[in-house]
Amino acid sequence: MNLQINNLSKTYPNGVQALKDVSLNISNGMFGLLGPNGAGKSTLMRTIATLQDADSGEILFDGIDVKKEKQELRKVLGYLPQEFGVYPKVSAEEMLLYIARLKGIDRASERKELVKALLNQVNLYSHRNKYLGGYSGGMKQRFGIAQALIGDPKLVIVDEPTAGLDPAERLRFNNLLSEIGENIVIILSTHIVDDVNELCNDMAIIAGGQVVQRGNPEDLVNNITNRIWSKRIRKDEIAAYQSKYKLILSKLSAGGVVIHILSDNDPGEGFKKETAGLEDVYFSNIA
Amino acid sequence: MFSSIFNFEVRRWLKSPAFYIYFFVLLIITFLLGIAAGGAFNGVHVVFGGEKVWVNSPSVIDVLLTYLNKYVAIILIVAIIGNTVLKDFTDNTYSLIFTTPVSKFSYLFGRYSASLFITLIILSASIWGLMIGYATPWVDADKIGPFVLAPYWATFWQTIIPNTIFIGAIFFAVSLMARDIFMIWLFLIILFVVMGVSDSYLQNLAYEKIATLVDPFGANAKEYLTKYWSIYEKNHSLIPLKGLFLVNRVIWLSVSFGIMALGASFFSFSAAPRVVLFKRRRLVDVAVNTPMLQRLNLSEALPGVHRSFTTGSYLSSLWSLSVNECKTILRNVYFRIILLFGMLLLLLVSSQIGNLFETSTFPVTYMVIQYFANTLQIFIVILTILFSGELVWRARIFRMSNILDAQPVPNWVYYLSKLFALWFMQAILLSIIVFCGFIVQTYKGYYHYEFGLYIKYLFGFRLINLWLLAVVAILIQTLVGNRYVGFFIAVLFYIWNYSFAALVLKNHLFVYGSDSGYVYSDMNGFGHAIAPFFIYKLYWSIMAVCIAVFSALMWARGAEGTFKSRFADARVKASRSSWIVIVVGLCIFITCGSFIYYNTNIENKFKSPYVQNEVKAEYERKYRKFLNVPQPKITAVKLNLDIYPQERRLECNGNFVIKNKTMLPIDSIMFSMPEKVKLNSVSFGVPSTQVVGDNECCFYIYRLAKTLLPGDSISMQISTSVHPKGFEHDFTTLSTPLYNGTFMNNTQYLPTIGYSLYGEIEENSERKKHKLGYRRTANPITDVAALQNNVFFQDADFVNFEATVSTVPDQIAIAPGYLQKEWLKDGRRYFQYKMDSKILDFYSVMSARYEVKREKWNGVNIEIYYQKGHEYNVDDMIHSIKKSLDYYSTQYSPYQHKQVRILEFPRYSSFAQSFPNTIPFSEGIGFIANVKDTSVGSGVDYVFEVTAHEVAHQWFAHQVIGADVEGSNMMSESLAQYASIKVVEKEFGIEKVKKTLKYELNNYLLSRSLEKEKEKPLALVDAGQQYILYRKGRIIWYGLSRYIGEDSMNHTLKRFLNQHAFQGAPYPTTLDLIAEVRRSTPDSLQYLITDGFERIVLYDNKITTATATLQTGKGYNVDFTINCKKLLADSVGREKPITCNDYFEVGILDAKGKLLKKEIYRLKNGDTTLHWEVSTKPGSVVIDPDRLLIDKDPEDNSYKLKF
Repeated sequence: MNLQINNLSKTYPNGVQALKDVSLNISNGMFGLLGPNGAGKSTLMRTIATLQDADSGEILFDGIDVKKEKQELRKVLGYLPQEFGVYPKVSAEEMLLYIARLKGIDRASERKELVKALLNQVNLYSHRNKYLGGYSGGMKQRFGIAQALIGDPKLVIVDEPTAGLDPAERLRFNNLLSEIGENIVIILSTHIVDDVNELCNDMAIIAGGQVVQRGNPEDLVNNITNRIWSKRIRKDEIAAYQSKYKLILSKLSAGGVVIHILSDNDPGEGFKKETAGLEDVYFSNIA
Repeated sequence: MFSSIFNFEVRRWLKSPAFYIYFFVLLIITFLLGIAAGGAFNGVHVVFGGEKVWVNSPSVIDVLLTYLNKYVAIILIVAIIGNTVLKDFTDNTYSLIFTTPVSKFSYLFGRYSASLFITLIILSASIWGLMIGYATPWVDADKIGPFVLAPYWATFWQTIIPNTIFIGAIFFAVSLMARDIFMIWLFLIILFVVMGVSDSYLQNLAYEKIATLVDPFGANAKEYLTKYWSIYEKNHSLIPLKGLFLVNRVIWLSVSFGIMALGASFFSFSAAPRVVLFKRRRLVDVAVNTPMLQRLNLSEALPGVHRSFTTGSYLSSLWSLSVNECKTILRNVYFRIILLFGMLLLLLVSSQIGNLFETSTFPVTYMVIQYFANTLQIFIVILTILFSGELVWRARIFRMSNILDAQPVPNWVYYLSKLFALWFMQAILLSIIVFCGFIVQTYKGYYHYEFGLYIKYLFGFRLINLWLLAVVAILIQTLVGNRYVGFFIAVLFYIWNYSFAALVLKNHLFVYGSDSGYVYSDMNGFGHAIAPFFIYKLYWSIMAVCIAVFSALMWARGAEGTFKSRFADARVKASRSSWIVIVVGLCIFITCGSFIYYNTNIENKFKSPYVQNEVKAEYERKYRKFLNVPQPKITAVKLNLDIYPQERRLECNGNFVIKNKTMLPIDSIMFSMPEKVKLNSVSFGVPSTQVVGDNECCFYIYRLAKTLLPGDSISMQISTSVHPKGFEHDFTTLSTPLYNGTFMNNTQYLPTIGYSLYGEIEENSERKKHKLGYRRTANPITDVAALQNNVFFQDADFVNFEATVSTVPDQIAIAPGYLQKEWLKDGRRYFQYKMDSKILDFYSVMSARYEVKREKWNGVNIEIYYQKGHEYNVDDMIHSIKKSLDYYSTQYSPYQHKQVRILEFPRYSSFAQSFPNTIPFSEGIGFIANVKDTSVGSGVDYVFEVTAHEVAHQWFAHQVIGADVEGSNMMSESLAQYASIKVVEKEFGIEKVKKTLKYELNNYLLSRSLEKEKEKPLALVDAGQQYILYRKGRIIWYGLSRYIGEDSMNHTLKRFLNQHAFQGAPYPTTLDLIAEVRRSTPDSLQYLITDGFERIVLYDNKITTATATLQTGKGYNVDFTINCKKLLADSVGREKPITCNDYFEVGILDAKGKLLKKEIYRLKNGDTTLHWEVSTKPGSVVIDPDRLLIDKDPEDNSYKLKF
């Protein structure tokens, strides 16, 4: 199973270039696509999910040319969009049965059984008869992943699923994601570094419509081990440091500011060596 | 704050392209409407408010603008006001706005008035469009008066602004309360229910005033104020803002502000709408215990399923998707409310079914279906357009499309599920007609349920049209990028396609969904309409399939939805089969269209009205030179007619005797054939040769080998056949043989000798388009030559008649005359009829499966031939015939025949017609009337009255007939109207007469302004001026008989009949009749004859004040003032006051309308004050209580007394 993205470019009518020559090769397992808002993640996700077309380039999944054979791709796709609504006066069970029908499961008994199992897995079973309109954010996302998993998808796209969830809901959701099988392609797009950290063994960082980093999270972190230096400074010093160093990260901490810089050698000036994390990889790439 | 919000909104709209689109579309529409009304397009004939009323007259401007405002503007208002007010919720910006310190008033009314302002600017486009249209040189100079700004402005501020405020207020309030666009639609539909009910009651004169107040748009009020306006007034007077119109405006403006205030008070700056109908509850997530990290493989933990993506599985997906969509509609609370309202509407209007002159009909199934279906039509159309938007946009509105669009389902499955849901909804709406129909029939005690007919009519004929509309509605919503634009386009499409397209494009082949039409009749079922109807529907269904496939191809899917990306998707390999379907479909469409064209235009030579007139013009140009060439007249007719109902064929062999009654020898015989009749052969008593044989103009000339000398006769044999081939462009009815209920007269299968003026274009406005000169509407009364011919038939005087008619064995065939014998031969049934005395050259032939009821009166056989099941009024008809024969034969002259027969014919036309001793009578008037039902008022018993009228024609028409000059029709129609009202008076008393006269006056005053040429005095009336002949004629003659006395009047008529009955040439004119009437009229009343017959006089009398006081022990003193005004009108209704010194009846009625006292006064112009004493409590004072005079404003003739 392999998803191949070749030289994908997309410019919107308003002139924004959302994708610039993106190429990626993604194989089984959970792939993290990390990037800030507006980096082009969702454009890429939607393009893979057949919801829009790129201007140039191609996407191939297991021999399916996504642009030309949308219907074929949809047969193996499970997609949880970044933004989606629900019909307020339809119950979760009803909606899942409906989608199961759309996914080509034509035996009613199988649909019933599958939806029941899914509802159990995503912990919505007790709410199955309630209208979706009353669901909380977390419940809605769990409903979303349930629908994406109907029909044994070979390619699952999960676009920013944890945005807007509270920490407990996020944890619960990530646990759920982690249970999805290993032998299919799963793409998790997110701007939350921890999500990728927790779930993915392969990832790419995308910024300004381009892939800027690509690899295994551990490898990426290893690349910068011993090169991250941190220092606690006062707020009013930031400008001075900014002009002198290339800050990859500055975060508030107990009244002061902790800054991270990337450097092969000890920059001195009181910088301490910091244990590198994926966060540093991310920020060093998008800064 | 208010102004900044206002300015912001206005600027936002001015930047939006939608604003300009709406504006220019409306501008172009009204522009086209303006030049079309002005006669810019030769073939397009649109008339608003009368041929002689200028297209830029205040009343036409008002009608046009109000009409547009009512139907187009509602959509605009929803789009603009609904949109603006709901914007913060739909865009989720409310949290930003509501937290700013803006006041509620500024926020709400800033937005509302800005959107109102924008809407009014857009609506003003209709005014500019009309003005520009009228200013173009293409507008016919006859149709337009001088430019005046006032009427445009008056309609704008009196009608458009208040109505927009009203609709806006409703939408504003509903948006604020419910924050749901659906609720807005719901209210719109309620509005239509109210309007529908008020309109249905408006037809009834008794409820007229209430209807003017109930209508929120003021149209009824304006109509009420101006309904009796003459052409002159319509052209020159602004609709005054006074009386009921002013009251209406004040009421509804106040209601509008009340609604707005209510809406505003409901609104608070909070995110959640106030709960109006349904409570929403938030769920508590019970899944608090975080599932432990199990590392189990979720996708493998799920049960294995079988998936398939074959066409079969898509079809079953389609089924369940469709079921789902249908359930969604059914579950929609609004839809349920709408259904309830629909039923309520039907039940409310049901009392008006078939109501004609305050008399109802039995609720026979086709009447119920037709009435209900027409009432519900607009309702269903709105819902179709509305739900097409909801269905297509539902996934996107709820942002569910991101998930659904990525499902492995082909577009056509989604598309069809929406289409089926819409079709389902339409079927549900039609089925409430069945439901309510059964309720109404049961309630009215009519138990002859025809379930099959309900199904056939609604689901066989009506549903398919709605389905075709649904396909287009969904196409529009598929292609547009905004629901509201879609609604706007759909409404425009509907108005265009169903009102104007037929006028402009003329052929059904080019008007989406159209067909040749059908009429259901209990006698003839759907008749021969079925095959062409379904061929047309097949044709349009193929088109619909192409549209459907295209819609599916272009189905909006995915994030972008631009045309470019959709086209790109539609061009991929997988779509190839769809394109093939479209191309093949279009080929079949064209083939089917060619088949239709072959039938309508090659087999049947369909011509648009313009082209038809061009043929007539050609006839006139080529042959008018023969108009005064002497021709013989028919003196005897012997016919052999064979009717083949199942083949719709008639074979006719005629044997005439024609006689040269002129002073000159005749060497050639010329005759005109009716169109679509085949001339098989013609021969004369002497050898002849054809000189002219013009099949296009249907004109033939044969030169006789031997000249026909004055006083000589020869025979003429002619063989013709009528046999429609294929099917015609429009459903043709009475003039052709039918499966059951054939009714044809001789002008429909036999020639007219000589050049016929009936073959020319009558209307002068049409003649102008064909470059023909002005033509008099009738010969002048002084034309001595015209006295040689009678007004109906120029090619014969009185003739001897006999006929043998054959038909199929289960039908009875009838022609005028007495049945001599009846026999069966070769599987056909023959009837031989013969007249014992001479008759006019006018005879009908009929054939149907009849039931017969026979009675005898003083040696006269009375026979009613009727459709089984239509027994209701047969006895009443017999009764009326007896009463009529009795009255006419004692008062006027003996009846010339020994039988009277009434024969029912299918309801394709609603009339009865008097042939010699034979009266065909339409199924649609009288046979199903329910004269005993008083629920709609104690109305006119038109069964009795029409019968009496037709029997009277046996005297006035068949005994005495006028010369071929103006006015002569008065001697048949007005006198029949007079004679029959006398029989009604004898039978039912004065109250029924008053009711009838009330309707006659109403009809006369209403119709005057529709005159196409000029209004003539009664004595000079034209044949086409039915409002004078029937309506005014009856009032004048009856009024006169009351002034000079019934005996005196009847003696006059008796004398006149004595002198002129069966006279032949030279025929009498109205001058002879009036001279006779003058002889019986005292000098003091001679003015009545001058005013009634020789000029157009109207009164405008009224009781200005009246008071009554109780005199203890003596009764009541009543003091009142009468104002008299007498007006002389010219031919366009321009009036001038003239001196009045006339006799008037003045009466006092009690509260129940019973006459307490009546006196006759001679009154002069102006006020006269009177003092009366009555013993019982008076209710009102009335001038002319029996409605004997023509009064312009009959309402103010009575004054209700207050105590």
